[in-house]
Amino acid sequence: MCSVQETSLELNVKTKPATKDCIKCKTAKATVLIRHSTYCNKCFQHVFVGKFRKNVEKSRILSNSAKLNGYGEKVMIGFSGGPSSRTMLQLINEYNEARPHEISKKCAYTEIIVCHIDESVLFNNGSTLSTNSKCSQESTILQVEKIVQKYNYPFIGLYLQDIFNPEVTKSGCYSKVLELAVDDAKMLQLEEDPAISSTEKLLNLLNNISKLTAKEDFVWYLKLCYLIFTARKNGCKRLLLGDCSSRLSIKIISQTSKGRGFSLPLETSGEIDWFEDVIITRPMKDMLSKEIGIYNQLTGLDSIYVPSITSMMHPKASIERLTEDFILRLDKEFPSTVSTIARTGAKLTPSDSIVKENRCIVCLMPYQENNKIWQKRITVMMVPSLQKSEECNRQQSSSNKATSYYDNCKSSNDESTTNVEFMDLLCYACRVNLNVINQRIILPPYVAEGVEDKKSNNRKQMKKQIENYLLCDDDDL
Amino acid sequence: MVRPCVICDKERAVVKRPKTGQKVCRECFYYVFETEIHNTIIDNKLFKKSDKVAIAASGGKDSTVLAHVMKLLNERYQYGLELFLLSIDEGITGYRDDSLETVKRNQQQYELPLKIVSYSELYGWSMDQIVKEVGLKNNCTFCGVFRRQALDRGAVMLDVDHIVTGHNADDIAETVLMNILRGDIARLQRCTEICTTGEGCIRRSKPFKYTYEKEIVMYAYFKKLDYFSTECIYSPNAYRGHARTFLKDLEVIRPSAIIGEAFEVKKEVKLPIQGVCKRCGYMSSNELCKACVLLEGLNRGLPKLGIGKTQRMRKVHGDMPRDTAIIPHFNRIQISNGNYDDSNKPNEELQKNNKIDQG
Repeated sequence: MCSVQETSLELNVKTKPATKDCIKCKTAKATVLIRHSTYCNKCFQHVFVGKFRKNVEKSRILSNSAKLNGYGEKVMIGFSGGPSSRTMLQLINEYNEARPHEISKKCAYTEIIVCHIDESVLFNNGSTLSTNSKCSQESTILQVEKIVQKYNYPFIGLYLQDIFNPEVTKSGCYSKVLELAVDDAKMLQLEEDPAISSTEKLLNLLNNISKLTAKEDFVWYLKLCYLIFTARKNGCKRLLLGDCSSRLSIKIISQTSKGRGFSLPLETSGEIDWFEDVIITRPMKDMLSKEIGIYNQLTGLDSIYVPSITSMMHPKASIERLTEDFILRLDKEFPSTVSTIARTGAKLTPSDSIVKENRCIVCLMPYQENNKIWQKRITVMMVPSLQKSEECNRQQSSSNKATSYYDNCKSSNDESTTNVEFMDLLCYACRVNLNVINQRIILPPYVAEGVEDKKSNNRKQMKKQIENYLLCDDDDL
Repeated sequence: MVRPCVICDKERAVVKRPKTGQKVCRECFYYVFETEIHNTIIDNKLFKKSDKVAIAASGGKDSTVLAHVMKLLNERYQYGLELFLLSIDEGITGYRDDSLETVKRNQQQYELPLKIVSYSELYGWSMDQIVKEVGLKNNCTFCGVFRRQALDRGAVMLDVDHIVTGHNADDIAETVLMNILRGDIARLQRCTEICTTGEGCIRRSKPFKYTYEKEIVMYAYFKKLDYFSTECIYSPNAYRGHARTFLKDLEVIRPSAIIGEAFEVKKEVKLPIQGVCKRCGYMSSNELCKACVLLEGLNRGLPKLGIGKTQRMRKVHGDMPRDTAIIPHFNRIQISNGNYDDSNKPNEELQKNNKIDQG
C-alpha cells in the first residue's frame, strides 16, 4: 500500500498536452496552466468565476429552502485585504449586481457590509511577538478602506485589541474579564480595569503564551470570534470568508495536528451553521491560490500584504507555518495534493456526539465530552502512593478554597455558587494552548461571559431536577 | 548536578519524557509507561478473560516491547490471557531472516508459543522473488496486502480470538496523515479505531495507540530488551518519506501533536461495503480481495494487475486462466495443534496448484 501514489500514477498516465491550445474553447492559444489543464485567458476567467458562482448559488439555495423567506439576506464579508478575500469582494460585487437575465428579481443580498480586523498591534510598540520588530507595521485599515471605497459598501474597520471591548459579547455589554493564574488554573471574574488599555491587555495575554503555535492559534480564534460577534451585532445572517482551497488544505492538516480533528469539519466546510444565527460560507473553497493570483493579475485587482506572526520566519517556527511549508512543497512535486486534501476534508462531517452545550469558551468550537479524562488516562503523571497524598492535599486545599469562597459569597453576592472549573470548559486544543502560559493572563469579556453562561446553565439544570418541589417560581432564588 | 525525579523525588531522573516533558527516574518511567498501556486496554475493553491473544511479532522494537509489556501486564493485573507470538516471514534475505532470529530468542525468553507463517508457504512467492518481478517501485503494496492477510490466516491456525499489533501513536499519526493526503476517506475513518472487528474476522487491536515511538525505544533501551533494528532493505517511497519528516518536525514543535482524535465521515458519502472475497473467503470491499488480485498478477506475469488500472488490464488480458495458483480458501485453514513451528512445511495444496500451473 505504501508505494501506490495516485498522484504520480496520474502524472505518468496523462501525457502532457501536445498542443498548447486552450482545452475549453480549443481555438485560442493557452496562456494559463492549472494543474494538468491549459486555458486561454478568457476561458480561465470564465471557469474561475463559474466555480465561485456555483458555490454562492448552492449556499443560497440551501438557506432559501430552509427558511422560505425568499430573496434578500444581509451579509458580512470578512476582508483581510489579501488576494483571496480581494477576489471574493470583487466577485460578490459582480454577482450581486449584474444578473441581466433576472432583472425582475431582487439582488441576491440586500445589504453587504465589509469588515476588516487590523492586527498591526501584534507588530507594534514593545511587542515581543515578532522577531523583526524593527519594522513596526502601520495600520492596515486605511489601505483596506481605500479598496472598499470602490464598491460603495459600508465598511467596518476594527482593531484586534478591541476584542476586550465589553460590546464584543453575546449580551453586548458584559464588562467583566477573566483572570487566569498560572499554576492551578484558578480563575477570577474581574471588573474591567479601565486604567489598562485594550492594547496592553492583548499584548500581555499574547506575550505570556510562550509557544508560537499556541499564540498563532489564539490570534486566529480571537479574530474569528470578533468577526462573528460583529456580524451578529450588525444583523448579518451570513459571514463570507475568503479561505481558498490551498489555505483550507493547510488548515485541514494543521488543525488535525493541533488536536482539532473533532471540530475540523466545522472549520473547513463551505457552509456551516454552528454559530446558529450567523452562517459561515466560504465561496472561495474550490480555488487554488495560484488561480487567484493569476485572476487578480489578469483583472488588475490590487491586494495588500498582511503579515502574520510567523511570516518571514523559519518553517519550523510553528505548526501552522510548518504545515504551510510542507503542503506547498508537496504540491509543487505532486500537483494534486491540495485538491485531494480539500476534497477529503469536504467529506468529513461533524460527529453525532457534538452537543451545542459543549462549546469551548475560548474558540467557541465544540469539544468532546470527557476529553480531559481521556487525556488523564493516557498520560499517567503520578505513581499511586504519591497520587493519594497529592489528592489529599488537593482536597484540603479545595476545602480551603470552599471556605474562602463562602466568605466571598457573604460579602458580595454576585458570584454564583455553582463551581465550574475553567479547564473543563475548554476544548483539547485550547487547553494545550493555555498550558504554556508564563504568568497570569487576562482573557477578554466574551470568555468571561461564556463562563458565566455555563454556570447559570448548570444552575438551570439543577433547578429543572428539583422543579416539582419548588414552591415559588422566582428566578433569583 | 543530580536532578531528582519529579514523580518520586528520590531517585535520580534519567530521562525527560517526550509525552509530558517531565524528568523522571527509571522506575517511575516504567510505571507510567506500563500503566498508560494498562489504562488503554481497560478503558477500551480490549480483552475478555481467558481470551487467546496472538502478539504480532516482527522482532522490531515495537513488537518486542509489546510482547514484554503484554506478558507483564497479563501477570500483574491478571487479565487471564493465553498469549502467543505470531510472526510473518516475508522472505527478505538480510532483513527478515535476521529479525526472525530475534523473535525466536524472544520466544525462549518469554516462554510463549511461536508460530511463523511465510509468504512462500501461503502465496508461493517470497518478497525477494516479488521484488525481482515487479521492481522496487510498488513492492510495498504487495508486502502490506499480503502481510495483513497472512496475519489473519496465522491467527486462524493458532485458533486465537485476538491479534495485538505494535502500532504506536507515531504510526497512527502517519497513517492518518497519509490517508488525508491520499484522499482515502474510508480508511481515514477506520485507521484511528483502536480495535477493528469485521464479521467473521479476528479482532485486532493496538494497545500502543497512545504510546510514543520514542518512549518505546526508551523502554527497550533501559530494559535492555533484545530487538532488531534495521530498516527494511526495500525501503519506503518518497511520498511517505515527506509525511514522515513532517511529523518529526511537528513533534519537535509540539510533542503532543502525535496524539490525534477521531474523525467522522459524512453520512452521504458512499463507503465501500465490506464483503468477502469470492476466491479465498477473506474480507474484502470488492469482489476479489487485493491479495488475490495481486497474486493473480504475479502468477500470470502481469505484476501491474493489482496496481492502478485493474479494469483496463483485465480488458486487455482477459480473465484469469482456470489453472492459476490461488490462495487456499479461508475456511479450509487447518488449526495446528501443539506443533506451532511448522513454517518449513510447504503448503501442499498450493504446490499441487503450482504443478498444474507449470504443467
